[in-house]
Amino acid sequence: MRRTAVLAAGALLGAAPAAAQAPDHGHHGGPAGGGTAVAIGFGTFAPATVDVLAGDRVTWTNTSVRRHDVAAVDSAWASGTLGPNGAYARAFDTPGTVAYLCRIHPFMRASVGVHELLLDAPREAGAPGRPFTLRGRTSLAPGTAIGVEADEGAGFAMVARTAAGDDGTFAATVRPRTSGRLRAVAGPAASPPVALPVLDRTVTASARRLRGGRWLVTTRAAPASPGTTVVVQLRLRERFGWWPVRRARLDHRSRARVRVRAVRARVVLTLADGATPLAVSPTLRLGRPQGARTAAKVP
Amino acid sequence: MSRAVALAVLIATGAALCAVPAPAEAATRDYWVAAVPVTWNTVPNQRDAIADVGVSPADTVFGTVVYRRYTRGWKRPLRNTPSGSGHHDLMPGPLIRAREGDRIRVHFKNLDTLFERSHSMHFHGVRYPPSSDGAYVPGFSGGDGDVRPGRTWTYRLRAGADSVGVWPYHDHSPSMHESIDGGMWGMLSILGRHERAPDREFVVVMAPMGRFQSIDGRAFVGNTPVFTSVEGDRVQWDVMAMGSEHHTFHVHGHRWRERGVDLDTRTVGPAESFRIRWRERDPGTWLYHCHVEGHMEQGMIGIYQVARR
Repeated sequence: MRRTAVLAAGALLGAAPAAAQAPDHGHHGGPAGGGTAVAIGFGTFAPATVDVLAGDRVTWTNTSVRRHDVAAVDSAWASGTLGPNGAYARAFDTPGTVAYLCRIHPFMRASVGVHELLLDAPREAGAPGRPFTLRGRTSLAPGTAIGVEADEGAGFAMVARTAAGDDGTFAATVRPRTSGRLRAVAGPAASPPVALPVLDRTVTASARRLRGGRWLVTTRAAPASPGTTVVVQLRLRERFGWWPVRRARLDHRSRARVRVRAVRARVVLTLADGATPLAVSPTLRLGRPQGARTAAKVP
Repeated sequence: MSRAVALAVLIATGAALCAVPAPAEAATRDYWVAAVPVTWNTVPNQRDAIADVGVSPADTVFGTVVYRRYTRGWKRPLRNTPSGSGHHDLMPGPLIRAREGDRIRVHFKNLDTLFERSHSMHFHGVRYPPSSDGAYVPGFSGGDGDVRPGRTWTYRLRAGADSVGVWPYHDHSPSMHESIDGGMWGMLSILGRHERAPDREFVVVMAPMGRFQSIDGRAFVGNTPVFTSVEGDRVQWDVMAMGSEHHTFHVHGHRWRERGVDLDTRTVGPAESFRIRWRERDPGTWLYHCHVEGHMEQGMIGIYQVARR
């Protein structure tokens, strides 16, 4: 069995201020004020399956032009008839799968998965061996030990450990080797798995001298990654390392151009947070005679 | 009184009046400020250079809401703090400058699309009517203390003789505590009627930021502001603390005089503030930091560079 290479894991709770919110991952759910939204169409519920945390509310809204209702298959509850734009909401407290249907059009069937752990689905691809932070929510007590398991083709194996925070959130950092699925576990409870794509990308950079001592840095990523964030960093003594000075997104040609004034620069392909590195270009040693050019591929 | 004596008195009075500078004209100063969402990195170089320890972006990057200065009508964003002195942008909020006697109008707009919370601005050290207090008191306060997303409020302030110095401002809405934790604070700097403005003004806000202790929302040398001046500059440090802890502000290689006593360290508690001035004469790279050891280890430290003229 190939061992999943997840080297670093840790409880990250309390890392950010109380006001903070992870910028790179969203929570399950939809409507303002929290909860999960399900649209009742002409002949379907969309999405047909939703996963919620125990205690979460689900709101159904009739977006079609004909009447519907929402009722548990086991008849435990029912909404009553919902006309166009009519809405019905209910909270689900008990873990399990709740099947429901429209009694007016019984072929319309769907389900709600109620869980004690939920992982936010990654919105971006990770990079092999580089840290990727997963966040999630739990209805379990604060302090409960939570594990993160990865399946990269050989079954789920523990790759990170953390604990439930006071606000019901948790976070853990993994270092995936290849694309796979991840889930959170705590005793017998397990979240539905989420997919984490992993791309081995390279970023290259070249520079051309402009007037006034400035440089035009052109960067490209391969395979093409339009929309991905790149950050130009300068090596500055007073900053004690690499210091981000410009941030850009790769265009439709997977390219970005940034003007800088520097001696040493590099480009980092990052997650949308502009900080978590996915690939790093070689260092450009600027300030050389006019016309000097540097371009190389990350080994 | 003889005509000669009267003439002498008139001349003496005239001479005395000429010796006093003409009072500065009181002005009305308008500031346009909005609460805006940002992705903030407390440690952009991702390391504590002194301890030589790396710091993960997972621990340092978060979404928050800060005060941002704009042009009239919130048309175009501006830098919050003076450029050229080493400040970074967005934390602290705009430096509100005025002179004794001035009226200040702060036009505030809540553009919080991240948390969709109410926000406000509450100012220390200046005079204002209750409608410009910016504090939320259920059943008593008006819109000033509870500016909802998409709404605006104009705070009308006056800098009196007792306003000279530097003062904090911060969110005092129902989301006050979360907002202050996330960096919704800034400073007012009020000059006396005839006081000369400094050549360099450094804003230092000492506050916790997640698991770090920050200066202006950043932690560890290189990340905190790298303040700069030139030998001979008149420099002014505007220092304040937010949060629930006291700090001891210390600058290496420098002393300043307060009430006849030379100091190189001064304590500042939550929402307290002070300004320090000196004429720079010590070129070099110096540390400034909180001398509460635990705070310093958690990042409340920076460098100050003085160039030779």
